[in-house]
Amino acid sequence: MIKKLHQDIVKGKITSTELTQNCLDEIDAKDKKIGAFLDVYKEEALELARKVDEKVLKGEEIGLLEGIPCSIKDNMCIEGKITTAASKILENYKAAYDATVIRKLKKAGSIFLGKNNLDEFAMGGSTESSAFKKTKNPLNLERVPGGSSGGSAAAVVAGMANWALGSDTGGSIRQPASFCGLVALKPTYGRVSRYGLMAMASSFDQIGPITKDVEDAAIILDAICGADKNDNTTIDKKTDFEKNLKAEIKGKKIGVIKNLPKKGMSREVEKGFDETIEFLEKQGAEIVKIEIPHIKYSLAVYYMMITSEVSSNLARFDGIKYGLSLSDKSKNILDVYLQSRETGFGDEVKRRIILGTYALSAGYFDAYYKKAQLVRELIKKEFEKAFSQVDVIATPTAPTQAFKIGEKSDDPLEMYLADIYTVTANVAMVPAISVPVGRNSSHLPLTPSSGRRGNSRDLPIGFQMMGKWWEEQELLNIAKGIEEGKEKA
Amino acid sequence: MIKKRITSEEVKKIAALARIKISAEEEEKFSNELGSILDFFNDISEVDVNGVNKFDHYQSAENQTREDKVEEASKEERGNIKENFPTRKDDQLSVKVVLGK
Repeated sequence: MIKKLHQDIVKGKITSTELTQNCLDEIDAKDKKIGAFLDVYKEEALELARKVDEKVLKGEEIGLLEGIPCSIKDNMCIEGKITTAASKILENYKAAYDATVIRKLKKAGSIFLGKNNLDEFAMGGSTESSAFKKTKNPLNLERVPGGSSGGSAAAVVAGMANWALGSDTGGSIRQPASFCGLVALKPTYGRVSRYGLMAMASSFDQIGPITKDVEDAAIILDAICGADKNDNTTIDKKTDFEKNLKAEIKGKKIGVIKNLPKKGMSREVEKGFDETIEFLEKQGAEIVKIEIPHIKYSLAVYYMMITSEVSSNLARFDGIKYGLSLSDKSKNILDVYLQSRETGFGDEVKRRIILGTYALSAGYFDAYYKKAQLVRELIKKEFEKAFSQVDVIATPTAPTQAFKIGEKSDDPLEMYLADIYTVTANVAMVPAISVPVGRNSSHLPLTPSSGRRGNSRDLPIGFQMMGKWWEEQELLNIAKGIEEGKEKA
Repeated sequence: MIKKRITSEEVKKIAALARIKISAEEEEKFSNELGSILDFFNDISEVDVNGVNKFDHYQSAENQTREDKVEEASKEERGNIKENFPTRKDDQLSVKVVLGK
């Protein structure tokens, strides 16, 4: 969609102001019901749009992303703007600097419509744990949009933004894309800078696009990736994802995991997955059964490591330099920490901090975190072996379609188990893409007013592919093949 | 040996370490919830990790270093940082006494 919008702007068929006003109108009309946004930058967005329109009128060249409105998950810092991580502890926190991805997108001319809702501190799979509001799935308002980047996905599928940025630690952009019928790509760990992304689990977090189609994801990845001196875990691997994008299925080796855990997988998801594999085979791909013997441990490895990293990363929220501070109600400095954190953090955040602190504490570190680290390396080696036999590895993105609001929020363990297919990509640090398949797989935005009340046959299903480290191009190209195949069907 | 259950007492101790003042009800609630999650973690105790080495997916990364010199923050950045101070005395962050009374 982005290329077409860009061409329309350049040709004068539409102005950036019109595009931006359209999005703002949609936000006005729908967001009270959907709750995708925590903050909207109406005046600034229109002002930036006006500037782009002036450039076009003068005949100046504009970039692909220039003048096209998007929205950002509220755990990424935009200088001078309130950035909350959907937490009470940062309700009034004004970001002191731009995240690197924001700086890059500003340079590319993107227009930020505002900030999207998320699970508090990106911990969750439904956006239900946000301290401020629950986001509804625009395709069916009784259901969740997924999480933790639920607001971002909802904004795009409801036509309130043309694309959005989310963050992914264990599936947080892929699963919402899967629930909302969108495309999402988690880059290889180290591809995109995490500077300015509020850290959840530092050895898992990555930022990625949530878009209506594969080409858009390629365009945004081009804009946001690259080594950054402010993030020592980034590395430069020069690639032109959009320029090298072409639908490719024939001759590709698609790996299907022999011992993939199937507990909790719904019939619809299984059907959607199998049909896509059949389609790929018909188009000339070779389906190869592979083994990743230790994949059954990836969920445990994930939760053990991320809770530990979370407990460390969230120690900075202590009521001292910024954020909620119950200093008035505190007797001494220790009390400031204890009270500010007790009041500022929600249940899920506290749960994970306590788990993580326990896992890292004396006597448990070796058995928990250190052990998990080593199992992680084992899993990575098994992925390396698998990639010597296949180009990509396919799984469903999530075991079910979008579930009902409130359905899983009572049982934290049940919520964790639903991450089963996405976490492995973060554990192995490989790139992964989710593309919509199944009945309602159109990438055209469906509005709540479209009349569909939604039974599970109408809900989108996500098809996930994991690629070799640094091979996002492969993922994008096969995904493009799937997308074009659906359009022809 | 990984313990299978976490008692309310332990939750209380851990919360104190994590600097979070949880209530008695929360101690009980977390003790139950965390117990079942820890059971689930126990699976990895059976994995043999003998001889497992670090897998470097960067392929050719080097440690990145920079000159040890101060890079000043801009006036705007400084302003934003100060604006976030919960308690302030002129340009300085004010905090409760750390040592002594």
